[in-house]
Amino acid sequence: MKWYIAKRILWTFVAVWIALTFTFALVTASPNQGEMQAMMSCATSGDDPAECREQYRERQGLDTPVTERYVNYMVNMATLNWGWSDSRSQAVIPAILDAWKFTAQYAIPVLILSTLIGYGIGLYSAYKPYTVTDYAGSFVAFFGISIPNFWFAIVLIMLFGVNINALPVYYQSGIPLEYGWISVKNFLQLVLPITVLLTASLAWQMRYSRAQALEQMNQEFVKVAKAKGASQYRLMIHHVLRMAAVPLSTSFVGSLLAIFWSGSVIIEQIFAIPGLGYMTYTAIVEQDTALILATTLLTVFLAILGNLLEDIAYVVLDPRIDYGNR
Amino acid sequence: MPSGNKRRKQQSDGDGGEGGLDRRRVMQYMAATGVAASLAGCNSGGGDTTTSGTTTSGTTVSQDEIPSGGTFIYGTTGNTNGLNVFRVGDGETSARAEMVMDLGYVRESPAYSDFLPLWFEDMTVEQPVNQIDIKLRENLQFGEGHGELTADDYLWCIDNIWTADWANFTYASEFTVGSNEEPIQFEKVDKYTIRETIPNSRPFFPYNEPLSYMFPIPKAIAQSYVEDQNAEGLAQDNAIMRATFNGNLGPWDLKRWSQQSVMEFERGEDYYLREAAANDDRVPEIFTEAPYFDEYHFQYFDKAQTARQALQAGEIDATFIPSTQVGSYEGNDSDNLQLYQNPYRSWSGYLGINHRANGWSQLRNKKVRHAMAHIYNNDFVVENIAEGRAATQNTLHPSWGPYAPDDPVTFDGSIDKAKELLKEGTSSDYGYSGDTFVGPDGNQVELTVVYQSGETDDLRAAYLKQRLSQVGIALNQETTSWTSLLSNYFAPGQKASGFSGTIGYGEDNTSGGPYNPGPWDEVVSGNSWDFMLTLGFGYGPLTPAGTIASLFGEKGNFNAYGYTPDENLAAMRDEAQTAESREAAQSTIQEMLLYLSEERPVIFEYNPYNYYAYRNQVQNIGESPPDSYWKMLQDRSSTRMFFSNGSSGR
Repeated sequence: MKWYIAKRILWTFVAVWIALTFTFALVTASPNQGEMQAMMSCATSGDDPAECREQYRERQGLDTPVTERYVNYMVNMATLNWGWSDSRSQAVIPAILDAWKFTAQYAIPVLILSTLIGYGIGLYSAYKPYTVTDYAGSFVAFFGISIPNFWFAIVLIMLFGVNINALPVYYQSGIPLEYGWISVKNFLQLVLPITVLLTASLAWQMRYSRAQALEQMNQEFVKVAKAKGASQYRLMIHHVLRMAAVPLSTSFVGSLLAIFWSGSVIIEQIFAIPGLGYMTYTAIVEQDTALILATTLLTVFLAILGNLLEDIAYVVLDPRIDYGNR
Repeated sequence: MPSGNKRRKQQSDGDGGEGGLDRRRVMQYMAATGVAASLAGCNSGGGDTTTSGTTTSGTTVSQDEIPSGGTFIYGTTGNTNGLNVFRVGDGETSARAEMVMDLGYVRESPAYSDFLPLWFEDMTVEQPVNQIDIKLRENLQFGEGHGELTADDYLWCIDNIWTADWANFTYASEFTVGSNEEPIQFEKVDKYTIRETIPNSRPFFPYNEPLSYMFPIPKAIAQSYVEDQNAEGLAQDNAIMRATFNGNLGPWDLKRWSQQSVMEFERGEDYYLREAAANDDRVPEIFTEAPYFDEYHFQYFDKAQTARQALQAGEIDATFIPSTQVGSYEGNDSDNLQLYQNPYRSWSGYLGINHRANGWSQLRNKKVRHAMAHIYNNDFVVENIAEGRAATQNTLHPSWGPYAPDDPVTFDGSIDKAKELLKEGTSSDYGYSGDTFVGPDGNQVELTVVYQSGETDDLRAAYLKQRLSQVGIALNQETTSWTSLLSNYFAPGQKASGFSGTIGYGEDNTSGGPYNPGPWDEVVSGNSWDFMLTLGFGYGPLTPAGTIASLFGEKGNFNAYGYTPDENLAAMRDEAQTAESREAAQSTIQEMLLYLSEERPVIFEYNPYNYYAYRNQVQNIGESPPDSYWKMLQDRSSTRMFFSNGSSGR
């Protein structure tokens, strides 16, 4: 097992290297907007575009061999010199370090809550399928899947922010600095974003866990446990969930990234949260190449790391899986 | 590149510059209807030259009674790119920079000497108009030990930064005049006085002189970047981005900047204008204690709707209201809000027409454009889409502007006339087959409108489609981002199909700039289009000649439309700008405006009003609407004169 993990970590580095190399190749092969602008600018002011192109390439270090640029690029990436973000007037790494906290403060609770509540309802629905409670759970799930995040967010803001005036309409980034990240005031301004995001992700978790649990409910070992008089709690948690959790765990990283890409961008725009989603969206809209590159690579890193953790989780959850010989 | 529609030069109300516009000024002039939510309204509230505050209810409050303290929060959808006075190039950055550093003055009427003196204690214009002496106040201090702001600081910045090639400074071209870009001469008269001289008399020069809207950078901060010619380093310097050197030069100091969230300013403790207000009769007494809030926040929202909801919930104090949303705020006392209307917005919205080779060729015929003016009826748009919250335009000048022609060409929206004009104006291989207007291939004519999706522009595009269908023409609607609109549709950057020569005007292939590198049949945009919404144009109503020539002159810097006028608009501009006086220039300017009205190079539409909503607790936002364009310009100073009646709770 240890050898497997060591190999996987080693492979993680290889995968990251491949991703970085692929990105470098894409950027190198793409038409350089700055270069084209420089040429255009020179052409229109009566200068020689070819000369301007050379000057531009020299200034940007593009006149060096591609291998040298590749080495410089890899060194910069390894030393976290990821460039300058024009859309934020900030270096890329500080930009990410500033933004991730604002996303994590609601994304982590959403992930935990959606897993606990979603699996809980899913297991319960599986235990009592086709009953009123199952239908109620299904209704919640389909409501969450069907309702557009942006619309739900606006409705909640109107209801709780404007009409009842019980919760803040938008996120004030000064509150965590003044009152702390874990404070009632900060919690209050996160209630609506968490609710919106939770509705969508919980539904997905619930339907998936219900399906997995239902599959296990017909297994022999469940019947044996039932025959031996196992309580409902013991049956579902110790027997069904443990087996259902193996396939479920494979979706963990996927859910995290799905929350980020499908939810965060919209939630952060609507609630004015200066997190990774809003940052990425702005970077794309404003063609902030350095920041787009960084957020893309961040996603790749998360996926690679997540897959490693998932594979390790397999073994913990199901001792029959053995990586000893791999 | 998305940009608000206002500019730092607003106070001087410049036009396209004496010699026209250069490419770096595109950000100042181009604007999207969808991003019109500038900070202008925030700066265009109250503020007059009386010696007391006037509350919104009309009650006069004496200086002693003005409450102070609390935080004013303005919700904006603009960007958050710092206070970079080196890279200031759009209205939003300017508005933020002006929080921490004042302008030279605020003009109060067209008279050269009529202005509210801020940094500039005096500005003397010689007759003939080829020399201006500017005298700085003596109590202007940079912060962080950079010393006093004097004439030397201006001259050093002019030579080393503002006009230096390596710096690529946004306003570099404004240090020249005329179509030949003759440099303005600057010289130091004494420690506090700078003399600006131009070769010939130009009556509009005082409105365009550049120093009144420049922010000098202390030599100690910029020196090393200047020596290395490192523009990128200077632009990214922390002191520049945060204007930490602002000293007593502005009413506020930057307290906290959270990217893409909020910019918090705190009251400057030693703001120079307080002392000036006590000693200078021209500065209203209300400035002696200004600003009246302890803090001023720009709170950023990606969604304007969230900002409006935050305003309704009482979490912010003011924000921009699109004209289409104004109805829900008018007469709605329950929201505890007051509306401020600014009808003097110097911006024209119109239906752009692609005259270049990748647009519909028939649009180059004036009769077809006249047909389009009937089809896309500007009165209908003003009444039904802008809901009356805009003024109709039939040329590139507002109806309230000093040069507005008395009898511009108008079109009544008749579909029958439009059909007739289409038949007359198009070539013989076009015509009607039943109710369908068909082209040489026998198929229905299909045109394309491109725009950035937004509430107003979606409606404008839908109206155009509906009306075109009534004359038998189909319309494809293409939506895109602001950046893409400019780079892929507006800016011509590709050789036209079938052209293999060198792009450019005349035998020496001169270029009008990136937005007009050559004639319509030589260079086209990357994507083809026929009509364009969203993109409008800002102008200086006092001096429209430069803007007209830049936008519609054959070689004009911004004539991306590829329009080829019969008249030499650049020559007419030069004639107007070198006239003996502004009065002498009037007939030429009006001739240009009438020519555009008749030609309809684009379908002139409207200048929409700006609306801002304030919490009722905010006082002294001024009379709505202001009674004149000049009153609106004076209101630039209003943010530091806002105060709360004490019930806002912040």
